[in-house]
Amino acid sequence: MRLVEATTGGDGVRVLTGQGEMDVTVAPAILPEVPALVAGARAVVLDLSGLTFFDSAGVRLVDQLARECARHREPFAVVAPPLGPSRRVLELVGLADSLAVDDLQAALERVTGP
Amino acid sequence: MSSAAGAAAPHQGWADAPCALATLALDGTVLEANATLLEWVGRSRGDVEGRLRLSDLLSVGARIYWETHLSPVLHVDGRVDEVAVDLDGPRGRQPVLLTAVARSSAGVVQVAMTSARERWRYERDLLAARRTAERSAGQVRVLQEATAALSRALGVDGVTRAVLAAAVGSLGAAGAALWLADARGALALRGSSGSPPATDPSTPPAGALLDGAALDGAALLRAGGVLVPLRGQAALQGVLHLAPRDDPASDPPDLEVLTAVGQQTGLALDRAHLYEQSASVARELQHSLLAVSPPEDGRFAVATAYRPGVAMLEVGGDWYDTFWAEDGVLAVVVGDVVGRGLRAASAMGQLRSAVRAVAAPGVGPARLLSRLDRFVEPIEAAGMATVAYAEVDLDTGRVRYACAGHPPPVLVPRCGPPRLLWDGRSVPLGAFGRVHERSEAEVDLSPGDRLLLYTDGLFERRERPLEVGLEVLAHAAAAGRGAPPAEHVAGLTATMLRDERVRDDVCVLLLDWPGPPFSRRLSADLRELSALRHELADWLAAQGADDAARDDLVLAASEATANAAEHGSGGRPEALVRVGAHVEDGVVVLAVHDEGRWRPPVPSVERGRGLGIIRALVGEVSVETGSGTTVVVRRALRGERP
Repeated sequence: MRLVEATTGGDGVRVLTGQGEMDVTVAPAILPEVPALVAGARAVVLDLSGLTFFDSAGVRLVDQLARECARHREPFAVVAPPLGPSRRVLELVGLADSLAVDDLQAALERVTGP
Repeated sequence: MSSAAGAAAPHQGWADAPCALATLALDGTVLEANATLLEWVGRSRGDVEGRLRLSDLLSVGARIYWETHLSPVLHVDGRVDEVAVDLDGPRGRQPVLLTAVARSSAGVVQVAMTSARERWRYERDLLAARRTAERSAGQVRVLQEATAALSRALGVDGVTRAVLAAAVGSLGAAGAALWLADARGALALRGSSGSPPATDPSTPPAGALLDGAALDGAALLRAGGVLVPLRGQAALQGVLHLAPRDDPASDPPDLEVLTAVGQQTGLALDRAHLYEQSASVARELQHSLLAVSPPEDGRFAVATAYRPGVAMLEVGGDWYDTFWAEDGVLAVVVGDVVGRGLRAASAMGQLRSAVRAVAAPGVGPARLLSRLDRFVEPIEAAGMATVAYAEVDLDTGRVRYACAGHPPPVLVPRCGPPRLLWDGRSVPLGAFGRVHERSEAEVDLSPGDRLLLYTDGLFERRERPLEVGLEVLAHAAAAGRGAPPAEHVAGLTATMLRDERVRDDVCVLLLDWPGPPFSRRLSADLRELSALRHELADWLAAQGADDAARDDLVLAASEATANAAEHGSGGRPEALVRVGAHVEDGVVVLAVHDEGRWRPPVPSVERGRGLGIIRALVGEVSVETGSGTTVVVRRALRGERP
């Protein structure tokens, strides 16, 4: 798995896109980078719609990102499509309601909304 | 002889003539009557001559006819010829043919009457004979129609339909109810047609059985209808209760015909019972042979279907069977004995047993068929039987198969196009020529592949070539492969037989080979974790897991393996984690084993989430400690998430 970082235009929303499988063999390696990933953004969107696997190690990454964003008062949302692997796991651990949205458009609206 | 005014004196011949002669005045008064006339009317000459008019000697009807019709005609035309009238005589009416001529010049009317009694009787007899002939012809026609319908009828249901239809058809009843006797002789309502007599369906018509007349077999008129006993050879088979038509113009019920129809129906019911008994013995035989359960084993699943030929009560000689050819090698068979009925069913039973008896370790399909050739030689009904036989090694998936005149098995792979297995073919069993080269062939199953054996009724249709039928079958078999085996077979037979009023029996056997259990070893550095997930997903699909079960189990296995690697390895990257899975009664049992001691999860870290996720995913998790720790999870292959 890898995270691709992209900042959209001048509105300061940072979109982090996950690809491949996010499991215990890759997610922990990203944890130390979380402060850097979040720093300086107006808002953060984690797009997991391209993942083929997602487990509790991924949940920890999402959790860390959410905490870090909260510390910086940056809005944060996770794109986890309804039938994808990430949505199922986020629902199981009870994070889907507060963080997950169906697609990128909805995520951008949520983090830039009033 | 007295003489009348104006009339010539009659000579002796006139007076004694064998016909009645009279001379009348123009007003009809009898002037002279001869002896024959006086004798016919039973009166004396003195009473008649000069006193009575001719009309006084006629019957009432004839008198009216004379006064209103004959007398005027006589006056106008001068004569009437051969008019049939009745004289009123001492022995009742005397039919005569009357001819009268008016002799206006003489002022008299001369009348001659000849007796018409014989002719009248002849005509009456003629009419009666014609009526009788017509009625007999009608009865014969009705009987023939009813008998023909009854002889065409198959089984008790067929006879019931035929007699109820005849009742409101040729027998002319407004409606009918058929009561049939059960084994103890109690009558039960079997069916009705038209507007049947109003009776309580739970109670036979009164007196139907106890009435003495019913016992001798004659139809009886009863208030509200006609009771027709249906007598078989040995016992009363039932009672037909008819409602006559209200229409006054319709003929009254013909008890003779109804009695005869009742006898025919009784005998038809005798035949139907015998027929059904024989068919039922054959059916029972076949059913008992086909009902034998396949061997119980987690390494394969077998689903079967048997559809008896419709429109025929007789069973055919189709069969399927599964048994152990040797340890770990399953034999699957589908065969077809030529012919129908008890003979075919018993030949099928013998042949089926023979296949089991002949199969033994090391024999193999080709030699098995050769041995069957020798077996069928003395059994005439088993000759030309066709068989598809396959032995499946449940550990490797290798199939050895042979077909004796039988349509090719279909290999339905988990992915990819279906294959007709055309190799390993030879002639039907006991075919002419005696010495047969029996060949066999091999094919390898991959986990999740299915093997379909069937009899020709499944794909053979008169309107299309065999190859086309086989292609349709292979296509239909591939279309249903996502479903569990039993649904696959049910769907396949439903699809293939959708438009078919099946003439022939159909046997179908489907073997599902999920492959060996899942078993992998991983080093604790988890470099192979992703590969494990993909292999497990593939294996689960071969077992017939649906998408949700596959995703849940792969996630659970991944979490459990990550836990085991961290907690069980003691920090040694070379330590091993074992992951195994097998299916028990549609439930996947997944076990992840490590060599360390399981530590209870600490809440608030992802390890806790890991076990929490496993529990949430599969519902049932157990942790066994002994030499190391084993996490066991169970989840159904299909169906709702827990």
